[in-house]
Amino acid sequence: MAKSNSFSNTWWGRQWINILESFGWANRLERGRRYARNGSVLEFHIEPGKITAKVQGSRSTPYKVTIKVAKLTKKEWQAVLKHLSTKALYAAKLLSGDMPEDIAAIFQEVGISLLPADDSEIDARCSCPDFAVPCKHIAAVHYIVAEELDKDPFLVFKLRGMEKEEVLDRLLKFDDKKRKSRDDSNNISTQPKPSTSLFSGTTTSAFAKENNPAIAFSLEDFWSGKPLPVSSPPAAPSIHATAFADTKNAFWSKDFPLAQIMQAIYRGSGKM
Amino acid sequence: MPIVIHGTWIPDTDESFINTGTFFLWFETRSIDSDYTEIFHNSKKLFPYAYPIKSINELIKKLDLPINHAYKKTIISFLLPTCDGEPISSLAIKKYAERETEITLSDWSVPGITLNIDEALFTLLSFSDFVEDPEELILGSDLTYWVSVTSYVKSLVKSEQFLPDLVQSTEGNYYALWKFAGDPVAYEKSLSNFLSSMPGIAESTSLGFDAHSLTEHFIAVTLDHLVRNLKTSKIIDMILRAFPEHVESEFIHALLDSKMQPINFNDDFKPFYKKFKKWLTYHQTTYDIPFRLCFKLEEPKEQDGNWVIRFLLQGRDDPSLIVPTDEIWQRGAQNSTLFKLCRNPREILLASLGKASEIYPPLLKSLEKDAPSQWELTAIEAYDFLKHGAGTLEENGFGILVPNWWKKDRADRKVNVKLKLGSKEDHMPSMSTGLMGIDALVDYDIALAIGDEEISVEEWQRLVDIKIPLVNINGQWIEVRKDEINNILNIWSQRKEQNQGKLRLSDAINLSNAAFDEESIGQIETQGWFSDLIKKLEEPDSFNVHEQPQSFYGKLRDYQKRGMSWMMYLEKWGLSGCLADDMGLGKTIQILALLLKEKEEGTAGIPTLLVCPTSVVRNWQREAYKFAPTLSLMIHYGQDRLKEKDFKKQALASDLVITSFGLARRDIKELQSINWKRVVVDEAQNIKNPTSKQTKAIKSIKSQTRIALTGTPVENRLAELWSIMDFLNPGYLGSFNSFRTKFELPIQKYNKKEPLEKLQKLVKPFILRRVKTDPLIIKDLPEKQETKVYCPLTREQASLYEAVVKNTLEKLDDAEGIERRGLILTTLMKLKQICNHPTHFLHDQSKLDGRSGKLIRLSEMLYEALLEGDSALVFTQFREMGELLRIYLDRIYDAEVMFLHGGVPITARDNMVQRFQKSNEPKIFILSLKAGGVGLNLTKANHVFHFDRWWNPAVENQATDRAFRIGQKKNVQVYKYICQGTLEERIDELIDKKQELADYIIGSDESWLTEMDNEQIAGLITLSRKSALE
Repeated sequence: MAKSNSFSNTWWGRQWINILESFGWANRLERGRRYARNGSVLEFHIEPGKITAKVQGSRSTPYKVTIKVAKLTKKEWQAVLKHLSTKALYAAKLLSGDMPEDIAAIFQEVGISLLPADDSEIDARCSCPDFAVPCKHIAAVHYIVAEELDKDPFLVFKLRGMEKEEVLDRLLKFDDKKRKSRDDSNNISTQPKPSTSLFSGTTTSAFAKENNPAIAFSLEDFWSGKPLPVSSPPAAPSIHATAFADTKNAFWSKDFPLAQIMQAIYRGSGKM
Repeated sequence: MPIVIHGTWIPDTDESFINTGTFFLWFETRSIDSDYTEIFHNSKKLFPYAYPIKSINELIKKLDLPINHAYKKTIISFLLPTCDGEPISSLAIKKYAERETEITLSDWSVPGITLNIDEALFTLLSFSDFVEDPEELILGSDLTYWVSVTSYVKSLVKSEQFLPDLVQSTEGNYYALWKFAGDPVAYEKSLSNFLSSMPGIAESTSLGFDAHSLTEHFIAVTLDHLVRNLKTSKIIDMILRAFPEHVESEFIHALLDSKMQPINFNDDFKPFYKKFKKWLTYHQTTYDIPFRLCFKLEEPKEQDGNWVIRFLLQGRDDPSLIVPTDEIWQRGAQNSTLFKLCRNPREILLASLGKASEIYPPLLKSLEKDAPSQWELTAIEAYDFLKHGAGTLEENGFGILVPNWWKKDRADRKVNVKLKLGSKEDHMPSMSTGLMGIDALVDYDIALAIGDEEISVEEWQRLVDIKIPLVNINGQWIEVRKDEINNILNIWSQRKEQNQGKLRLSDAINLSNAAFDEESIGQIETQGWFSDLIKKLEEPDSFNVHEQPQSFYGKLRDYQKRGMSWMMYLEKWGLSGCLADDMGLGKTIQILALLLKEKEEGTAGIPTLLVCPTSVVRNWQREAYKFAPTLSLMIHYGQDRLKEKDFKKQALASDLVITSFGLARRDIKELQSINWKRVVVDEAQNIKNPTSKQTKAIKSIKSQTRIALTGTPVENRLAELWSIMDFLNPGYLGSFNSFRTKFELPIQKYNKKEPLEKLQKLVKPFILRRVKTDPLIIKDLPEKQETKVYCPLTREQASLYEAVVKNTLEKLDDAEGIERRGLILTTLMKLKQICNHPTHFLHDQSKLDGRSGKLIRLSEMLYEALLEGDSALVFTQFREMGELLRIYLDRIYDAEVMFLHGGVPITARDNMVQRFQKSNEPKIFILSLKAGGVGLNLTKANHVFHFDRWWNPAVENQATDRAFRIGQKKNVQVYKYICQGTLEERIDELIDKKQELADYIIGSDESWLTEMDNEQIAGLITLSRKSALE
């Protein structure tokens, strides 16, 4: 089964493939690999604890494949993340695309496994008529997932039910009760103290208040100043494009064409 | 007296929530109401130089200012400079410049007008391209300041650097406005640039706003106003009408309403507001400044302290932007500066550390805890980081900041192997036996040192025993390098056994100049006579300057005496050098002086061989006759030159033997038969190709020492430099192949500085180059220096010349009167044409290369001038010749060459002159003597070539003065070209001999020549083949 390695070059990816290969059905796996390589896997999504995909088989309608992976409980996640956040090493490695091997040991310590340990933790279904599980379609999806896992180790956590963002929030200390979390800070800024004025207030300068005649004074500076800077137009790209494209955090209702209005406004400013 | 328009921003100071502002304009004049002291406003005196309020309407109309009618007249109190109770107007600064009296700021009432924000923006934007009239109307610096800030705000809006915002007032109302949203660093930079140039008057109202908040307030108000009032497409109205009940519509409406009003909405607005604020916070802080991780190593104060590497985030585009990361892990860090600059500094930090630890695994240690912002490490770890980590990390794009003392060349911060060259004796051991040369031996020894301080074997052992690579000695960190040092010591002790502690002189000089590349040797100490030698080699001025030889006919300039003495100095040690003075500084003379000096001192004995290009053989001969008539000269040249024994016999009886490169190759056997005193190679670029037969032949000639002469900046042309150095001091720069890998490739292909500097240091002792622009040399040089350049004829020229002469002489006897005059003048013309170029005479279309001695020499000399970055004028009396020169020079230098002659229209002439004077190129300007000889100002040129002669010094001098006149900053070199052995040379001699008669004998043309009798004419024009030909 040396060939199967070509779908993964990482230990966690290979471990994922091992799950599949532990089920037997060698001839179906071989065909599954071919399917995976020739692009038969048409659509595929990873959600927390669940992979869905469409695989083009012998019939014209693609088969639907669903692979469910047992999610960890809240408690289990807490225990794991608590461990992972004791050392910056884990976040650093994960963020740079690597997964330290002792992460598996940490899961072990908590009494669970990083990836499903047996078939009780994984449930794969396919709409094809083949009785065998895994069928070649499931196998194909499984191999494709292995490739994805190689690219982003955080997907392993997603398969176990937790999004990368959540993991990072924890690992980057944003949810630490002792520290101010991402949400906390948002809460604070969403309830800013009401302002006393619309525009930032102006302050008076000590210089003027005291009207101190002793201050070294140059007639030249007073009446002529220094040569003004040649102002070059800001080089930075505007951020509005991304800001109004962000539907996830949108403050406006989905029905309202706010992005369209804003586009018209910014277009007007560019033409000014 | 002009009127000065002043203006400043006045923020609203009442308590209202919508705090915009108004712009105040006032007008300053010189005329004062006679009774101004009587005028008060709010108990403050009225500023007498402000235009009175009653006439402002009229003024605005009269000056047609871009100010709409909707203004209010008002009086604002300003703090203005005051001296002895008198206000100082902006137009009177000069009057007070010298005064000692104290100037203070006092309250003055200033009448003027205020504009609301809308009118203000119209006026300020109009002023941005307002043309001032210094007689009538100028903009005050304060107004200019606000106009510039307005333009900046406009550019922010134009480049879409803004987002909407919502603000809640204390009364519970919501307001929508536009705010700057862009690169905060760039914004701060612009703001501080503005503030640093802000004149006092722009912020000097008695309201006393501070400059920073005043400007920011202005920017905020104008930015909002500009966006709010943008012309937008109708689609917005259509959408708003289609969604009448929507909170979003209210929001958009409030953003685009030109009047700022509270948003008309009930409590439902609150959740929208909250969501909006969340979105805004997220997107404002996602302004992603590209950062990279930077490691900063800090040393402990004492030996036992901990070393620490701080993790910093550093702006990729602005490395001076450095933010420590300890802050980002703290509570409330989201409000810190860093979080405003980039989306997620924690993620950047950890992801970078992840990558960095792959590259340099010891960093993993710093990740053993949470929230890392630094790594504390031991001296051994710190040393490893310095030695191995820092470099690799830097190559991989990480920033590295290490203590200053960690620099490779800091010899006082590490234990070094020190090479001691030369023995303690003051004199060269072999001095008595005569010259020693580059193969002589130098004593050496090896020691250990930190900086200047040598350390003993025991001290070294003690350092090694501490077993820590960085040791703190007296508060300074010293790198021990145990294994490295022990290795080097081993190598050198073996070497010492082999060569009994002696090095070849060339190796010793080489080491003392550039040993550091061996890495093995950290320091060099020289002693005794060797030290003396090295010091003198390094400082070209440290040798004794000798007086000029008594038998020298003429006067050497100071730098020429220095050049002569420098060569004498090098030769004393058996070393050879290259005299690379700029063209025109007299290299020939310095060599002649050197020869005379040793003849006088009786140290010559054997002859010197000089090899030079054919084109200058006669020049050498002439200069030798002129300046060193006592030298016995042998010209090995021409068809009747001596061979074999005859050659040897004659050569040994001479002081100087001159030959050409071509003959040096052909007659190499003869030249090899003598062990010369020295071989001098003139125009040493002729031996630049180390593999050519010519170079090999010349290098094979035996001599005690050698001298290379060149006018080109040889140190920048590496292969040439190697070849010349190899001729001078064989082996000094190593083999050509090792030179290529060590110097040529890294310098030329990879543009490395270090090897270039090393090479320059290596060759510096052996190259003496003085440039004309050196102030010391300029002082020493005459401002204008004339040289006659003697050129041979080519064979083609010679036979054409002889044919014309023969034909003329045949006809001359029969000619009389006008016919005779005509014949003579035509002949002179033809001969001059032949001397210039055969094509000039034949009008043929064949190629120009290699057919004219003058043109060959001109090309060589112009080439040198161009290499020095100089510009040149070339005068000819013939338009046809000028055209030929233009075509030819243009082609061989691949650069534009201009030619001004009688046929060029006046405007085009002016154009050419302007172009030549004002721009760097073209550098060569050919002029016909008649069209370009007078009036023009061509001081960019510092070389003037007279390609042919007018035989009238006055006319030539006038032409020369195009370059040599007021405005000329360099010394001018004038070259008068003469074909040797021809009428050109004879007429030149004639004029020289009869200098006192010249002025009246010689008229403005050449008709005086026709007064000669036939015999004289024949003598004048007949070719002396021997001296004319190559």
